[in-house]
Amino acid sequence: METRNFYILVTSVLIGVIIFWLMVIAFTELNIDPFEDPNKITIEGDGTSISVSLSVSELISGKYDLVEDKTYHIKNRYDTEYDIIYSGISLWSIIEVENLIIHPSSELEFRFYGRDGYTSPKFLNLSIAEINPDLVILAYEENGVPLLGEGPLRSIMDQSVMPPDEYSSQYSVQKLYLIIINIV
Amino acid sequence: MNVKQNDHMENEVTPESSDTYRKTGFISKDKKRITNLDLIYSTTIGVLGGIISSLIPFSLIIKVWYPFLGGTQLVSGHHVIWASIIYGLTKKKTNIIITMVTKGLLEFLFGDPWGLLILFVNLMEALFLAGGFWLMERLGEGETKLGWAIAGGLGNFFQAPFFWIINQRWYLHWTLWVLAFIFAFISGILIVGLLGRAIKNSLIKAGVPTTF
Repeated sequence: METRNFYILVTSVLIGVIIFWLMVIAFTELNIDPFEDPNKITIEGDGTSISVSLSVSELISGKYDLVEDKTYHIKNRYDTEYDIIYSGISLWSIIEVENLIIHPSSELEFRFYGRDGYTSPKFLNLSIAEINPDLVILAYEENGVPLLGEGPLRSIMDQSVMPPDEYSSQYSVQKLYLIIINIV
Repeated sequence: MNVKQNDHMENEVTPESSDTYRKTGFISKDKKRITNLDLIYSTTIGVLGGIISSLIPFSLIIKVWYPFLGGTQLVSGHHVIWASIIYGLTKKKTNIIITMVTKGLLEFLFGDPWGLLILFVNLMEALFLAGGFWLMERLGEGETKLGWAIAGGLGNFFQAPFFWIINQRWYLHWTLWVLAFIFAFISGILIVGLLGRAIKNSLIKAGVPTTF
């Protein structure tokens, strides 16, 4: 083998080894199963009576309250405000139908987790979802188009229900796969 | 004075060898000059690239096995392959820029979420690819697979940090940042460099006229 080709081979193997270990670190640190069904969402935590995993087709089957083509007002941390039309499933209706909680919602808090490693900045009180069931949803369509790259599910909260100094854009978690509900 | 004029005339009438003749047609021009064929190639391939980049979600292929942000960089090379093909057919770095600007305009017109910034990104990719080819030619690797691979890697690499910084993805785990950049470089090597070179060779073998 020519020296030049040998160097190319060694460099390629080295880069391959680096990638392998970086991926091992990423998968273990972020605690994500690569073989997990991306079309499923799990709701669990010490505030729930059971852990429940639901597929997108189950979510839109009509068992839970659907919110269709509703305009959501979003604000980001640059104070830019805009409206987007989403269709989705009310988070509170899932909790209610599945009888997930045994404590009053005011004693519980929730947080969204995306498959890409992003999480919503803070735990928020679950009473927000109970008081505004149509304004805290798990969206599956944006402007009538299914969420492909950002989905299949994305958490959406209207800016009107956000606590002071919180921005709804930061709670709009794409590739949503987990919702943790804990006792405050 | 008269003697000089006579000498000059004599030289013109009787060439020193049979190979000395006056070139005519477009080959008589400076080789760096853009020809109509260059423009037709650049704009056609640029339009093709713009349509494919805008409408075909290649990134979905990757998400099947790599759910994290940054994995889609593994296929990001398809945005730049058009520029390497055009360079192979014309050997002019200006054509890389024309192709990518055409592609960027198409993406903008198709409603790219980045707006006019996508034009700048395409221009940046073009400049880095042209720089990569320039560097490889200086190192004597202008026509080798290695040279094309590294030039392609450089061409595709720099958009990744640009987008990640613009998107302010500071919240992501550091491994995802490193992997995204490595993936962008590898995609450049495989798609822009090696696949681009293979397509260029096939086109030339099939009889597509080159302009160099």
